[in-house]
Amino acid sequence: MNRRMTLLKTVGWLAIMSSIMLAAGCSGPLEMLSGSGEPAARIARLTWFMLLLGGAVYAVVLITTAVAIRRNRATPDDTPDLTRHGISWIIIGGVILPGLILLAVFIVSLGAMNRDERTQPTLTVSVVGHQWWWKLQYHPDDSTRTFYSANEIHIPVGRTVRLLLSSGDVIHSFWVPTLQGKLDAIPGVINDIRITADTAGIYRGVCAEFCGTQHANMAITVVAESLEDYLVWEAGQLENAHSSADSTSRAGQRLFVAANCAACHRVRGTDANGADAPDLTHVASRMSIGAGVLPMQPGALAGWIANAPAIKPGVLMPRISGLSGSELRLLALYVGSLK
Amino acid sequence: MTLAKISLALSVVVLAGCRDSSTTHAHRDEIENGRQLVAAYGCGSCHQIQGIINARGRVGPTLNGIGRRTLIAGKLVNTPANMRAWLMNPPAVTPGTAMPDLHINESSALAIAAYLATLK
Repeated sequence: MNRRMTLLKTVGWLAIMSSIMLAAGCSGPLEMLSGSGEPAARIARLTWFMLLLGGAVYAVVLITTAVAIRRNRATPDDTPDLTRHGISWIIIGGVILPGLILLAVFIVSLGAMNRDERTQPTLTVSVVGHQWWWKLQYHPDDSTRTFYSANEIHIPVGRTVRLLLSSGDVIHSFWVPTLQGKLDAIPGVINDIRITADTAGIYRGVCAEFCGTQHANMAITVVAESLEDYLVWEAGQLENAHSSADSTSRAGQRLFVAANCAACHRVRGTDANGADAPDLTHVASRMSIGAGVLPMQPGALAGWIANAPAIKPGVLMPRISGLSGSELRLLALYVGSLK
Repeated sequence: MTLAKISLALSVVVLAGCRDSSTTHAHRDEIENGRQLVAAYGCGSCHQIQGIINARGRVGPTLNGIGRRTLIAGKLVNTPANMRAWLMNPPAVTPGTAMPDLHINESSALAIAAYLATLK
């Protein structure tokens, strides 16, 4: 008896400790319970509702079990109680009550999934998942203002932003936990999702649907800034790549085309017009290389250009051989100048 | 009373021995600073470096064991001063090297050198 009590206590403590540890996992860059903006708040409310409801159900089940163990302990000779009284426990407790609870959860979930159509989006960005990066197109329905980018979504703070999710290959899932619930990016389908950031800042996100070997290295970053800052940024992105007059930069630009980078990448305003890989017109203004794999640094750019598959095995970008050390430096210098 | 004071003073002296001397403490900070700089500069895009996230590069030599290597860039004796000079401007040491001049300042270069020296 004593040993059993000790065991029960240990189990109880373990349960408490592990729930504390689980709750600790709710904070950090991918925090979801104290999110930013109405869509995230809705998810947080739903989470708390389901957690408390589930906790209440769990408590009732435990109490009922404890009472059942203490009273009316069955003997091997007992037959099941098939009277109305016995059956009603099963009907009410096993069918009607769970049915009502599941119905309540269903209705509340529908409410949380419902898209808020009242506020008109300030900005629309098409977000297309690729193995393993995110292709972004701002203002996809306005040819005078449209431009491409990758992996880093800039948005004005406090405004509703419409994201049109799709995929260029397999199913991905767009998830920036602090801003919104996850939604799949499916080939041939456009999923409309809204985000609003209440406070300026950098919000991290990940692909949340296994999409191949580098699924874990498919980060997305949302940069929320004031409307003025956003408009300045957008105007800068709309411009073509700044062509520098100095000879080093020109040599780097020629090398970019000669080394076949231009077959896949576009640098607007130059001869590089590839459309399959990330648009590099303003690549150096982004914070990371390879969808969050490396920091945006001239040295890191050189390493990525020379041998991306070593860092991100499976990536479509091939190892670029045939460049000498100084050519590689020149090329990295040029790409790093594309601010 | 006096005895109590003496024993108190003694225990303070003994406890003082529990703290690192300030130089080793500063050195450890410098090494940690160097480690963070190596991650921030993305050195791992060309070099394999144990303990740095995503440092799987295969463009330049591995930096695992660099603390015990005889030469830097196959040229300079592996001393902290030479490592600092190399980090601050690699093409000045070896023209034609792929390793770019990252405009690393002197204190950062020293911190990175201190960290690299720990990679045995």
